[in-house]
Amino acid sequence: MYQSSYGISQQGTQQSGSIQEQDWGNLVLSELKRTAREYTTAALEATHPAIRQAFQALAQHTMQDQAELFDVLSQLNGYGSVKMANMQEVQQELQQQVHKAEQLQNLVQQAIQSGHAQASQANAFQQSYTANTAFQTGAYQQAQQPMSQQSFGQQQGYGQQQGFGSGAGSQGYGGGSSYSSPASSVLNPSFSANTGGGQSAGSYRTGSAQSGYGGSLTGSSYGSIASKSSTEAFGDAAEPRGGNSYNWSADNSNAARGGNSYNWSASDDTQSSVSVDASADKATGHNSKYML
Amino acid sequence: MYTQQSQQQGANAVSSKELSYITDCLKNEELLAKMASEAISCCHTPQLKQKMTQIAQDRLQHTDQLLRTLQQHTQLTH
Repeated sequence: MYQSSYGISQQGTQQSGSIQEQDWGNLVLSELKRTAREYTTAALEATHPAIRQAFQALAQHTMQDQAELFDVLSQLNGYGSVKMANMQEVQQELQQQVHKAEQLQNLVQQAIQSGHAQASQANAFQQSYTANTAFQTGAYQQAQQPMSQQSFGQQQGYGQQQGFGSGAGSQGYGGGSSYSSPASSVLNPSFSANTGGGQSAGSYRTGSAQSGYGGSLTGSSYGSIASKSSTEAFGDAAEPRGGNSYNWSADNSNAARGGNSYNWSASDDTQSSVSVDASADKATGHNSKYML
Repeated sequence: MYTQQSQQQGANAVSSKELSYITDCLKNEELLAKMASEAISCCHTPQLKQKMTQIAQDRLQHTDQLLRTLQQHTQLTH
């Protein structure tokens, strides 16, 4: 079928005689693309490992040929100019997609948590976490110096994302050194706080050092989040939770946040368990996965 | 992805679908080789000519490889 159409195009060529070498280049280029696609499909459909591997290798080689031919044609200006995307649009899209990815991660984390959380541990944490002014203040003070801390590798990485204008809510993240979470313990954060919360190290993991987060919270540092109450228990400390994945919400986007994003409530909510707000549109900087 | 059925038929047997793909790919390679060969004579730019030559030769290699793959599995099933 394709050969017949090829024959027709050859006749057309002879009649017009206008096919240039660049036309040949583009023709072969198109055919290479089509062949590579078919190899890819064949590899995906193949059931025999050896045959699949053969298709893969051939697809790879064909793509390489295609890329090389494209380079030659580009140098000869035989291939139209490739328009670059607008950087502003790219950044805007990137920002949106990062937010979406963060929300997705929250969603997945919640699903994982709800799937594995144990009720007893969840209850224990609901009772254990009350706001700690000293800790808050310390964390906030640290947050005033974004990117200046060296102890928080994970969140420092995210701090670089601020360059993409991901919102004021992430301003404090660069210097979120209040959680000196080691790079390897992202999913099981422990509080070895080097600021105000230092005495409560490990309490999130074990739930034993509850007093470290006790006390009242003035909430003055985070005025705009005063009304936010916890809606979900920070259930199992052993659950894979990011050290900085807690309760980002839209209404606190203007507040500088420390490395911690815990839902500190100005009203000293008795249910002040740390929570995750998956609906937060302004979710910011809680995972270093999205380092940019 | 081995299935029990394929194992019963022989571990190295080629499925009809794979045979179809190999046949189609052989046709593609043949067509590409012919096109590239034709392009060699039509192109005047040395760079492009050289590239077309390389592509034509690569197509022959691919044809050999496909035939070899098919042949290997045909022999083992007998």
